[in-house]
Amino acid sequence: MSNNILSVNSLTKSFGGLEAVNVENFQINSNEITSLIGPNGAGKTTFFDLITRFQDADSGSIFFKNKNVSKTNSYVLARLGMVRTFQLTRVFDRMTVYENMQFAGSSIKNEGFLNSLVNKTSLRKDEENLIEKIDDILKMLNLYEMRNAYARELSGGQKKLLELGRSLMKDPEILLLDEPLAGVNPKLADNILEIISNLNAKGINILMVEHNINAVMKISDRVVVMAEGKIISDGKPDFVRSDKKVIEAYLGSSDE
Amino acid sequence: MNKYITASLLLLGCIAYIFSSNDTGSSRVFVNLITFAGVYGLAAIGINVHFGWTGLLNFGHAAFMGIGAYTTVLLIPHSLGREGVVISTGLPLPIAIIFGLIASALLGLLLGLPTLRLRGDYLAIVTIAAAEIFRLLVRDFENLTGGVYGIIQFSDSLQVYRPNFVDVISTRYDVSSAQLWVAILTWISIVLVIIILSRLQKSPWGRALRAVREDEDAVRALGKNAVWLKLQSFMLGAAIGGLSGIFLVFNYGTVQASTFVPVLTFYIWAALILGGVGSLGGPALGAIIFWVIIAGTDSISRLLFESPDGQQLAGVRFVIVGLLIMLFMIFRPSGILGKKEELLLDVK
Repeated sequence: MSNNILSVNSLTKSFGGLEAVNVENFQINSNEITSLIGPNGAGKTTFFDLITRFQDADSGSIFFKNKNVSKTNSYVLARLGMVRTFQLTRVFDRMTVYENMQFAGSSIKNEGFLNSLVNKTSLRKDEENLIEKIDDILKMLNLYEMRNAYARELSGGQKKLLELGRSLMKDPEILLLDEPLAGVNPKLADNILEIISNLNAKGINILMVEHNINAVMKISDRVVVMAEGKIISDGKPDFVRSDKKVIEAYLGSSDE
Repeated sequence: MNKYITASLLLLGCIAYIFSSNDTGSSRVFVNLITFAGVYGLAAIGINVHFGWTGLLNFGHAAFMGIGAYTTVLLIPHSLGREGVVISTGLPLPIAIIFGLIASALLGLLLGLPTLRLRGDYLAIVTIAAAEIFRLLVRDFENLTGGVYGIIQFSDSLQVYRPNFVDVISTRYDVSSAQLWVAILTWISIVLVIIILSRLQKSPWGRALRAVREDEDAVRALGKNAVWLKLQSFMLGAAIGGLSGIFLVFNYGTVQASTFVPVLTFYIWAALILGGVGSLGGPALGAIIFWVIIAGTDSISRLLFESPDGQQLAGVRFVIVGLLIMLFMIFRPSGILGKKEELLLDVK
């Protein structure tokens, strides 16, 4: 048994003639914060989509907890413990903050048509059991006061928090965050970073795409750099910061 | 609360209009109108499950109504086609109705399986086409369905259950007892369906449907099978549509292919938009108002034309219903009973 929670082999994806992703080998080791950085168009979000099975890869394989999930449906993968957020925040606008959280937390069995129709006592009990968990998470995210507001009434930053909170209702083993700090003010960004570190301390693996380099260098255990679909550098923040290839990718070739 | 006052006033106005504008036979007009309003209201409740709850665009409701109606009628004693072939054996009506509802739900499954994986617009296109294919098949398979000649003499299966008080009332007010019985059953069904739906709406299942309506990708990211949820919603709404189709043909006493023309679907959409997408009682209220408007346009047509023929009547109907929907979309897009917070402008 390796201690990789996630492992990817020769994963490729092309759009027309453009090779968006071509990753030979990539692993996530248990209990790390890994950040994926790279210039715009490097294929980071596509890579995310491939890992979470929101897009089909052209070739290659994905292993999650040593199980081949290359053909698994995205929602099944989420049930197994791999939960993602989106670059453009996706909250359920016309549902309240509370309902957003309830939906995320409720069990598949309770959402069955017949179970809902007969409204079993066990179902009501399960729903009540969620309340405490929802309240705890909302308090941690400073959203408790907003719990009865419609999600669309939240600010951009609060929506990011709600999306994160919703993911936490799933008790994920690995959390994939697509630009958790984008469009968030510096104070709230610090707040979110702290929350991410705390989650990691509780044993949740984090893989995030983020453009805020300072933040990335501050909290990551490991930084992976992508450019033109390939991984060009991979290591501790200090190593990546001084890697020549990374500087080239960001600033263009320095040979001239 | 304001909107409920508006709704009650409108309803009172509608009833007052019916009784004031028809000097003779106003109770006859009333029963006729309330029957059609019930049938359309029930059908609109089905579309509301699709669109209001789940964000599915179904423009082929006539097919669901039709397959429910045809399945039921063919399973009970009836006479068929040009020759009027009498088939005197059949299932008891309640069992036939159950088969009708199952047939509607299965058609929903059949249409939903390939299309619900795709974007919302595909479903709209497929449902329009499916409804027309259904109608043309019914028209051409004359041996099975009676084609354009249709099916007659099946009403007795329903009318044998008619209790005595219906006859008493209908004699006193000089209305058709058969139609009154259909009206009563339709409105009882509406109440039952609304009770069941209100339960489902508050349940985790109803919440999951709303989540699907808002954002399918987020639903999948949270480990829920969005396609399956959409299929369930599609089948439930289809079955409700099937029930309304059954009442529709028992109201006519006959059924032909031409009963289920596309305009039926669009009238039901009109009722839904007037009443309020997403609300429980809205579709039924919208259907009543819709039918009062239809009755009203007939008197307007008589102002415009000396003795309007069917085509002129239909023309004026289209103009007025279209105008009304436009006005609603501009000034009250959530309909009469719809929630402003849940205004539906985008489609999944």
